Amino acid sequence: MRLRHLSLRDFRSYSEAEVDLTEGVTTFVGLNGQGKTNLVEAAGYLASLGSHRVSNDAPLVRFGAERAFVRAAVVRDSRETVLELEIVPGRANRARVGRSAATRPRDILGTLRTVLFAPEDLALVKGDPGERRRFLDELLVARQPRWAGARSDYDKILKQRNALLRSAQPVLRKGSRGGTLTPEEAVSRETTLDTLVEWNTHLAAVGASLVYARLRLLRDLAPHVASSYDEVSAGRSEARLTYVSSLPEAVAHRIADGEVPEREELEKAFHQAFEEMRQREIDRGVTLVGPHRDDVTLTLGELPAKGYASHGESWSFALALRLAAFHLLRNDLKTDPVLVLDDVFAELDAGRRERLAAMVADAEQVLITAAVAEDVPDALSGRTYYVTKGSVSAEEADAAPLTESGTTSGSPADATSDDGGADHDCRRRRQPRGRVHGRPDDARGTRREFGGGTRDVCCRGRPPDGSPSGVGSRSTGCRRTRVPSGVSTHASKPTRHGHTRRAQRTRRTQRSRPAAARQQHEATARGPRMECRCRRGHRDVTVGRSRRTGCRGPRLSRQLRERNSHGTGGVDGVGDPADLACVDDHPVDRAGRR
Amino acid sequence: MYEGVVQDLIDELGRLPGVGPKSAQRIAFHLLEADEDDVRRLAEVLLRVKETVHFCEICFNVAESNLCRVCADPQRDTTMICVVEESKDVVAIERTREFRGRYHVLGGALNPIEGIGPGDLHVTELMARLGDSTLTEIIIATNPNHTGEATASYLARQIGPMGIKVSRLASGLPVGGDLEYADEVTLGRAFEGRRVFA
Ligand SMILES: [Zn+2]
Repeated sequence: MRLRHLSLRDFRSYSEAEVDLTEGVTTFVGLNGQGKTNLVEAAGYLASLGSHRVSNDAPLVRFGAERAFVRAAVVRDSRETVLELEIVPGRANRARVGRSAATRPRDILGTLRTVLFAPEDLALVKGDPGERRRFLDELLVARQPRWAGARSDYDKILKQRNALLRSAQPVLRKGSRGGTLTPEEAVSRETTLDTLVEWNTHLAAVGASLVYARLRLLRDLAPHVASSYDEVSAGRSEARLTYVSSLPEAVAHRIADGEVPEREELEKAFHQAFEEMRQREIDRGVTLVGPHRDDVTLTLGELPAKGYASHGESWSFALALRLAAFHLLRNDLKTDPVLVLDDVFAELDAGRRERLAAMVADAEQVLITAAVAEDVPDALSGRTYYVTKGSVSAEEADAAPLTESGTTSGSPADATSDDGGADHDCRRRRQPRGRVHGRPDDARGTRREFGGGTRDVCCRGRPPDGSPSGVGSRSTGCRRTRVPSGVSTHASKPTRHGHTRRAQRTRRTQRSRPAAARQQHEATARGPRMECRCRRGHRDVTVGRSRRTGCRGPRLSRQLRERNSHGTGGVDGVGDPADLACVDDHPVDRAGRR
Repeated sequence: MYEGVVQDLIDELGRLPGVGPKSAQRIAFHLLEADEDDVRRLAEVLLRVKETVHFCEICFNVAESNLCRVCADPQRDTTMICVVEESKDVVAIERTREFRGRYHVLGGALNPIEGIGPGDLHVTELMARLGDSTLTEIIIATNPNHTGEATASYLARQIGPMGIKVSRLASGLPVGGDLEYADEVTLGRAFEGRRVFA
């Protein structure tokens, strides 16, 4: 299948966008923060009803707008279906398939299917169990949309059961510890325990179905993962997946050995677990068994990938999981899902880039986003769109953003309007006035050649020639170009510096910061005041507080802060580039390079 | 906080279901600005509804006297009781004219999140009605969602040992639905409740 047309309204940084798409490869080129990822994010949302970047809908709606619209024309077997989705944060979204009346969003699942690769995928290998559970469940739904219903039923029943365990806690506890109960407490305890049976029954039924479905999925997926791993890493490594069940040991062992027990057997195991865990569940007030506590262990040969695999191997595994999903869906559907490669090539070494490219080149439709066209291997040549400041065009913009003069003309509202979607290039903003790096007509900017391939200038104050030239030496030499210049920015590109944990935390709490709140904060901020270095017009930002005020620009280095507090430093902070640092406190070297 | 009676009004309104503090404030100020006649009419209807409308002593359906229209009707079949969550469900079933028995309104469904247990529903009263020797069947017609299902299986377990037939309203695929998109649970229920054609 493929997308023929995608249109957005008030989605992320786009007030309006219309994009025609064709078979084969389409690449969206644009510097970070310009909105290229937002395009593929919208496509992904239509396919899975979720974003791969944020867990709530609020950041998806353009700042100041009430709702966002995403519409797509999907072609499968030369039949076209139009999907429409209205995203209203805090309320039920509305959807439409073809010319039918508005339906539940769930009903559009299955019309468009995508497999999306993103920098965040590294968390599949290195992150918490929740990442892997989400991968399985999303694939389950992509394969058979009806699982979306079971998934949400499970969550609802689980919440009820947890609420019951909690509400019954004091009463139940007293009884089970052998204390004496008053007559009322005895009655209350009895009725509470009585209804727990009901929730057990329903949770076991839906939970067993889910576990059973996951196990069958895993069984079908495993061979694809092994072969994809070997292909993408150009070796033989025995990449395996093992389901780690929270059910009682007898069943869990068989599951770990790759067996898929019958659904009824799983349901019995649930009841047994509820019986065995009763005391602990009552003490903790949460349900301790079920698909929400399970995990999938990824192993390479004999060792678990998490903790043992190198950075490169971890990437191979993450790619293998997505590629396996692609092959599985391709086999199931008798048509290719739309393949989306969101900014992944920049993460990979040359070998993996080329091999990944070769493996996906034959897909019906491939959508790629990249900061620079050179990131994309030649095997994936096709149509290119240029994305600049929330507009998409087939022509490359003449005025490269690198020539930005660094004036403070941007309004604060402007600064927040692309919040969340933005991964700003702090390199630009850190340049002292009048200093322009790179040729203005060359979007590659400060990229340098070294170490046998194009490498980006290090953001951590290490000039390229100073960083170990080795491939994959991420721990010693940072290779990233696009330094996100703020907290929310980091959240959207979590794996760049391996800040996965923080990024996840931030992603959960992330929301666009209302201008009013920011102004209020600025008004109450203490300490010496100065003009914000980010050049977005945040006047009077307290030194060192830019993170709190919502400014995502670089903040002053510690030295300058100290100098300021001693009253010796220039208040505008301009002068010595060494005084400037991005929010990660990566110092800037004397030449203004990172 | 507002002064005296205004705050009292906001507090009272805030106790209504579905009315948060902000809505309560909005409604309160709307009432303050409204014509006195309109407010008086609202106050009177509130009082009248409390004075004249009762809940049926037998089935807890809304009634204008001690018994509801159904319970007061001697023509109704006394062998069957249909158990529903709310009075509005009685109205819905009555509209179909399929059911000639009597009802029992629980006043909600089991919902631990909202702190609703069996003690908060008219379960004891239902059990008391089961002593009637003419009764042969209980039809449980709680909503086909997770709280309704939990309530249904709870009731079935309570009534089962008493030797009275318990049935559940069939739930399954919606008319105009598509099998591929029916979720696991719905499809499972539809299978359980399948009918024999020949
Ligand atoms: Zn009645």
